Amino acid sequence: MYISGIGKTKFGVLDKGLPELAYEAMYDAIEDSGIPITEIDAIYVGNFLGGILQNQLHMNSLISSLLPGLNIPIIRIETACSSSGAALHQAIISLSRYKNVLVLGVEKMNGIDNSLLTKGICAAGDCCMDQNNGLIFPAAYALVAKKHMEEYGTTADDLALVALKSHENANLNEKAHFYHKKVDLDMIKRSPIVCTPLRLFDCSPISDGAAALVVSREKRSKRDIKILASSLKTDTISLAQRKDITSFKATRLAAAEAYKEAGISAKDVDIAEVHDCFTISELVAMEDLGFCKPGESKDLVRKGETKLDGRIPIGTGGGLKANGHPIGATGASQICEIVAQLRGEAGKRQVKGANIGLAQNIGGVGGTCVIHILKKED
Amino acid sequence: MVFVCKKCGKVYYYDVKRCIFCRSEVSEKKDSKLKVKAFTEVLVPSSDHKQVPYFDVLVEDDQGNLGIIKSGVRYDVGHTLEPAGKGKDKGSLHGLKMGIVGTGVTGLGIAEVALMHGMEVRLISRTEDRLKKAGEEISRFMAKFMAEKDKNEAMGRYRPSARIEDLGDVDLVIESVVEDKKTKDEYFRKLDKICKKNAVIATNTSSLSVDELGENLKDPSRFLGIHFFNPVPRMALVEVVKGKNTSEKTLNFAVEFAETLGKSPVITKDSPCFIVNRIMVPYLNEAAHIYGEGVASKEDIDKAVKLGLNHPMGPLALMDLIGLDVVLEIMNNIRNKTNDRKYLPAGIMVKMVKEGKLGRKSGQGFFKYS
Repeated sequence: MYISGIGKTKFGVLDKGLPELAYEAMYDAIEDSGIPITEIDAIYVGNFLGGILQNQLHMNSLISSLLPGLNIPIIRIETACSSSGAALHQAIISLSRYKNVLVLGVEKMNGIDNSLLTKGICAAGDCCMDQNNGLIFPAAYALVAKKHMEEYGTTADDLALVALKSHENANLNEKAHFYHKKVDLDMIKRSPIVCTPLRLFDCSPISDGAAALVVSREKRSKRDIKILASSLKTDTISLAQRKDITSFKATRLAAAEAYKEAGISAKDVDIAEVHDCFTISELVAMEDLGFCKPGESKDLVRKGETKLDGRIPIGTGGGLKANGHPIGATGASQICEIVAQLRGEAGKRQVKGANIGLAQNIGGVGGTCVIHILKKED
Repeated sequence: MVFVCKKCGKVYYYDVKRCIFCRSEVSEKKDSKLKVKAFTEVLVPSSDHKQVPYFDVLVEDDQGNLGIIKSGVRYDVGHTLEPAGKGKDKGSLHGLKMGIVGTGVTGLGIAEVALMHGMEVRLISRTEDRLKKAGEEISRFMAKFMAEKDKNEAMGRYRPSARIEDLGDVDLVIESVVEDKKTKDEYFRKLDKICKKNAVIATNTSSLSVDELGENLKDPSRFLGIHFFNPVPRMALVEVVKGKNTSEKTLNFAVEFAETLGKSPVITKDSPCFIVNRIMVPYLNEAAHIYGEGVASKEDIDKAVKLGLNHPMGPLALMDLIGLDVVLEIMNNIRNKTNDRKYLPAGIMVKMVKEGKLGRKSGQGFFKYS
């Protein structure tokens, strides 16, 4: 099974609507793959907030409207921020029946009153336990950060380094939300507090965007990237329903299964896209994915090991933090970045000698975790 | 907070009754003391949590189960909290026995909020028929917000009565009858005799003098104003009005009462129309003047205020909602008390009241209603 085509719109504050964004990403993925749209057997669409923000559900039929006369099976998948990661997981499973499947992730988040948007995103948390207590997403991750700091001595400065690295990478990615934004440590450390200890620069931005993938049963071109593993695990929806909040069980379980399926271990991974919706989430992911021991992610960051020229480059396109986080598009966008890197087509941000890439896509505060491992075939 | 399977020990966070793993009974675990594990101060508002900053506190019970509590105050790590009862609100007067005299919109609103916060409510009206209707209205309202079981429990604390004498054992009475001094005087003279000596007696008046109403009581130190805003369940503000004789104890009790209902109290001296209405009266009056002078259309006046001052509703529509007769009465009250010409009602308002154009309730005010 292969990723044979990728397409991604610019991420950011865009004047395009949901259908236009979706179409652009699909168009680019089809063009990139060389497989005609008429040979696509099914489409899996990842979208999170359309129902709440645009009052647009029945997303599969909306996508059908963009493809006149095709009338193929289209299904929308929603698992909060991991919607298009989960859509890819479903697409891969469906290859037992279909030959070529399209995965689309799309989200339109700008142009909506901020407090409504914040509430909308809260829909990924338990309505009684989290939402009624005002546990908005930055607040939940702030609690994770507090505990991580208390248990492992991680500091706000470490988080700032994570943000800085993401912005540096985004400056090399034309399609990133913050491609043009110049950021330094001082700016990060002086940014306003959102939820203690998290500052504005610890949070991913509110982005519009779409990303699409063509997934095929057979290899057709040298540019096709092999899918070694696809794993999805779930856990309780609320942070308060766990015993330990400095680690996500869903990630640990999905990682273990994915490594087994791929026949590799964490140390074989050359590059990774992790779900850094908040800087702290990147640190937790590094530990849960086994790139280091629990509590040691800060050491990798301090040594610059996650930068483009480090031991394990993370978020090479800027991550959710600076590439942007159009929620439903994020999972597919991560795969676009890994595929570009493994093909050697990542331009200025190309990591040398990258053969195996891993993408970790999380829904909510670790309630869903989808992991994909991809490999460049000789 | 949690439900535990009696046999296999699986922990559930919802009332699931039976364990899907071993099919045994799942029962609620009694809340233990909660230890603060971490907290975050939230500085960004969201539409259900507009008031910031607030704190989200991560707590742990004695079994290591976590929980989240929203708090207006900061609790440091290691601090121990009592198990959350009715929970979210600051006040501690859940279970209070209280009386409400009057079954108007405000009276019912107070009853609904009090019942939803665990209080026992005696609602007094002159007729059984009105009480029956009030009970139905309250029940219908609460059904929108509560599970059937909780609603029934709350309605179990609702005690309507046509006899004011039934208020002999309550700790607080709020009078919410028609805005007429003579009528209110009569009720307070009765309440002074009926109520326990240490019961707090309050008026929900919006424009009469709390001190003058308090003269009906032998001991005015137990008297004050507790002024709610309509619709009571949705409006966060309560003006607590301290008369010249109101004791600190009475005042503190009223503040605690408002907080128990999840409201945000403000304290004001007894002064014509207190804070909100005193600001509102010249504001509404000016809007009526602008309309009367033909400066702008009624639609544009409301649109200007909504978009320019970020009010949810324009002044003309607001007057229609309150009722022009009520607004006029408040204006006359404040005008008579202060002798200040700035409160002289606009001619157009006087004219409209004379013509019976009272707003929504008469089908026509500044706007038409059908």
